[in-house]
Amino acid sequence: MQAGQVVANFLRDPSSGVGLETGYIKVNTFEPCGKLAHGGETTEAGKAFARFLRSLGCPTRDDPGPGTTHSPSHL
Amino acid sequence: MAGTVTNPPPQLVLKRQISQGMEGADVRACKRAAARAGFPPELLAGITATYTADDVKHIRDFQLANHLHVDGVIGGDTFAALLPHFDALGAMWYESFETPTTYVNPFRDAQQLTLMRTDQGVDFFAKKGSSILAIGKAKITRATTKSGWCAPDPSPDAHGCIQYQLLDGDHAGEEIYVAE
Repeated sequence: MQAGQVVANFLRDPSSGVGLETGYIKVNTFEPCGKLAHGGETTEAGKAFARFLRSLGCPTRDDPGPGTTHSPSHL
Repeated sequence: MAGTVTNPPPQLVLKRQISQGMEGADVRACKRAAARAGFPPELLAGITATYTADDVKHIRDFQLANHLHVDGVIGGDTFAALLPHFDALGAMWYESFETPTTYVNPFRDAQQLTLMRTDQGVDFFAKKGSSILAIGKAKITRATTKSGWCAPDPSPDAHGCIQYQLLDGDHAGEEIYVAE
C-alpha cells in the first residue's frame, strides 16, 4: 500500500453509536500495545498514537500531552 | 489589538496543526509571530522551536484576544490570525519547515469527523462511507472480519479489523490497527 491509499471505510453513520478505533498494535500479535483498556482507560500507546495523529494534522479530542509519537513496542 | 503587523501579510499556508510537545521551524515561526502580536513580547528574543506548556498559554491568550476558539492549538483559524504578525524572518523560518512527505493524515478525506476518546487507541465517528487512509507506505499484516485483536475480551459488536505495518519513514516497522 502507498501512503494515502484507502484501507477501510466507516460502515455506519455516527448516529449508530459505532465508529472506528485506530492505534498501535504489537508487531505480529493481536495485542494492543500497553495495558488493555477494559474501561476505556488511556494507555501510553493510545497517547503516543494520538500524538502521532496530531503531528499529521489530525485533531484528537483528548490532549495526549507531551511525549513520544512512537509505538511503545518500538522504544 | 496590540502588536507589530506586517502589511501585507506573507502568503503562507498552514503545514500542520501545532500542539504541545511538537518541535520544528514552523513552531518557532508561529511563536515569533505570537510574540510580535504581544503574546508575550518579552519572548521575541531567544525563541525556541519547541511548543511548550507556556507557549500553549500564550496562544490561548492570543486566541481569547482574537475571539477564536480557545484551545492552545495552532490550527487554521489561529494560524490565519497570526499571519499578519509574521515578519520576513518568521516567514523564512516557516517556509524552511518541511512536513514529513511520507505520511498522511489517515482521516484527511473523512466527512463529518467526530473526535472521540483516546484509550488504547483513538476513536472517531464519521459519515458512513468515509475513508480511512494508510498513514504511509505499508504492508497489510492481518485482516479479520472479527475483532480478534482484542481477545481475551472480544466484543460482540466488533465487525472487523485490519492491521498494517509501516515500511518507511521515522515509524518504519511500527504496526497500526483500524477496527470497528
